[in-house]
Amino acid sequence: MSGEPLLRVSGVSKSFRVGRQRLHAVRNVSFVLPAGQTLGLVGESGSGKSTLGRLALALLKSDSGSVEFDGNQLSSLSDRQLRAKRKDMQLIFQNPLGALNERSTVGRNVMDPLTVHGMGDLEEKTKRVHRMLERVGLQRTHADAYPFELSGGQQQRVMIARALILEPKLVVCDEALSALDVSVQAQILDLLLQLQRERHLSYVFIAHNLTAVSYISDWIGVMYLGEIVELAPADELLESPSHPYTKALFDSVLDIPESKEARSELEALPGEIPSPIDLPSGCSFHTRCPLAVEKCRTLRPIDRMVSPSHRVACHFAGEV
Amino acid sequence: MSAMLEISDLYVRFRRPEGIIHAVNGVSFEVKEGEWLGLLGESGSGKSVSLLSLLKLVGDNATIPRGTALFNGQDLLQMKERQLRTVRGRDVGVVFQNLSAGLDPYMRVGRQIMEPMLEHGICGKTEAQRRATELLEEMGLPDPKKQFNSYPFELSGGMRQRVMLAVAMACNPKLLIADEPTTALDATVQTQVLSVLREACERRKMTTVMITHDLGVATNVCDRIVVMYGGRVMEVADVDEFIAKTAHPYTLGLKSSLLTKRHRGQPLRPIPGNAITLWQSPKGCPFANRCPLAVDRCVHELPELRPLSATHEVACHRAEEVSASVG
Repeated sequence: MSGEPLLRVSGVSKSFRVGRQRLHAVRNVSFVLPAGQTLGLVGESGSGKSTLGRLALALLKSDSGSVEFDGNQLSSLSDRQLRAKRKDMQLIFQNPLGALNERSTVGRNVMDPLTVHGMGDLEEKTKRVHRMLERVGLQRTHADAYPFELSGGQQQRVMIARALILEPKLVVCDEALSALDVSVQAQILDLLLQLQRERHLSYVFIAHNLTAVSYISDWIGVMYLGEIVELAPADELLESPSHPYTKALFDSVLDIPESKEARSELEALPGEIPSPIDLPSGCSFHTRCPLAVEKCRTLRPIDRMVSPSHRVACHFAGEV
Repeated sequence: MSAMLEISDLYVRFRRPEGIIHAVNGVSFEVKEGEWLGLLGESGSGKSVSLLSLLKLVGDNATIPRGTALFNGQDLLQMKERQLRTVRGRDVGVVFQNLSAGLDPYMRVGRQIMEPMLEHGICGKTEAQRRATELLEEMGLPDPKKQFNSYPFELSGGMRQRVMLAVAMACNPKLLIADEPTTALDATVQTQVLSVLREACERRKMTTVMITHDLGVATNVCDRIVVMYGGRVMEVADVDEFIAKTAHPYTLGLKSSLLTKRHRGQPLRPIPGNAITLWQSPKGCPFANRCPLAVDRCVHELPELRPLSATHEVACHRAEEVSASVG
């Protein structure tokens, strides 16, 4: 990828214990995110998107592999150094009301990160909170309101204000739009893009809403059962998806058709997503793949480069 | 096509500790026999309430001060609870968005599909069991005999939603109300559920109302679309007219808020502001405070639905100008 890398994730895996078994949430994932750019992560629920987001922020410890952020190996930092680094890396959740402290005012919620990191006296902090609230499209008076008094869109603006008040370099947006109405989603997306331009922010944008990801991302990574099966610059991935799963995923997006005649055939991907506890042999997508042959059932595909910055984990990539 | 359900001048209010929410304010539309009607709107638009309130599925704090809802000629709003119980689940099937609320977590799914058949005395236990297994198969669940005995938590979201479809269809209802049936699902699973739903409805010639906030879903599966906002109907159109000749500024705003690949690199034009909370029934157009075309009249005078063509109605004082600028 071009540009100065801010985040470099290399061969990261994470599994969780479920009873006596292991759930393989993220498997040998690598990517590089250049500063000021957005990586969109898409895939069905259970594909490991959110786990990967938390691994990238060192909120979860990986079983293997490494995460390098802003020149530092996160695993080699002491707790104290890591805490200091957290200023630069923030997370925005899907459910703002669950993530905000409902007993504190909006102002306190946005101010808390400043207090935690011991930044400035009350007067200065208040000033910064007010500036931040105005920047995300709220008013100073909202500082005295409680989160539940605001609409969903306004609550998400508060979340963004709280995430950005420390002027981070990286923000992981985990389904940040999913709980919002369509017209409000567009507002929030617009705000995220403006803020990115102003502050040279990098985003990891996790969403099952493919169109929002298509809109905001510079890079798109497609996840299936814990692996990134395809990763490419967004334009290229949208233009020429090379993994059969990527194709199926983007084909299932329902756009407004040209006319009634041109409507979607609603051709569904057959079968169900296999369990991450009991993974298929070979290529993990072979149980649902229209192109699968014997080789796919036995041999795990390695990444192929179909162009200098476009990689695909499929035996047939570039040939189809 | 004759009307299967005819809603006229419906008002629904909710008592809240802070006051009264005027959720539905003079809504009229019909559901024609055999059609797929899309009821499109954002949260708080009154789209679900307009239908679910008719079946008393909206909570005890709701009142319906005015309106009629003729279902096969009978007014649902005049029915006693006992009578309504014979309609709900038998003549009208409902599929809910919330997967965890729609199914009983402690009951095997097969049993849940049998229940409406037994409740309405449609058939005996053995027959109900046979039909339930058949329904599971029709909904495309792998190994239906085995799934019959599983509990909801053992199934994926998409499978649970298909079980809910089976429950709703168990009594072969004339009308199916699907309230955001695919909203909580992934795109690939959504396609699967919609395709199963469409086939099952076609086989039964079932009339279907799809309540949704998703323009993509509405335009790809519905024959006709009713757009709601602020507890009012904003626009009604056949799907082709909806796609090509939308004439309400709100509908246009919704369309331009819908993200597509084509938008990449182009600025977004979201609808500014937030929807108003309906502490009172709107005097003017409920969309006036966010509408780029609003004039004085819009704030003071409630626009009524009026026809632009035989199959297209719009509630906007400036509809002709909008439609001229679009067409």
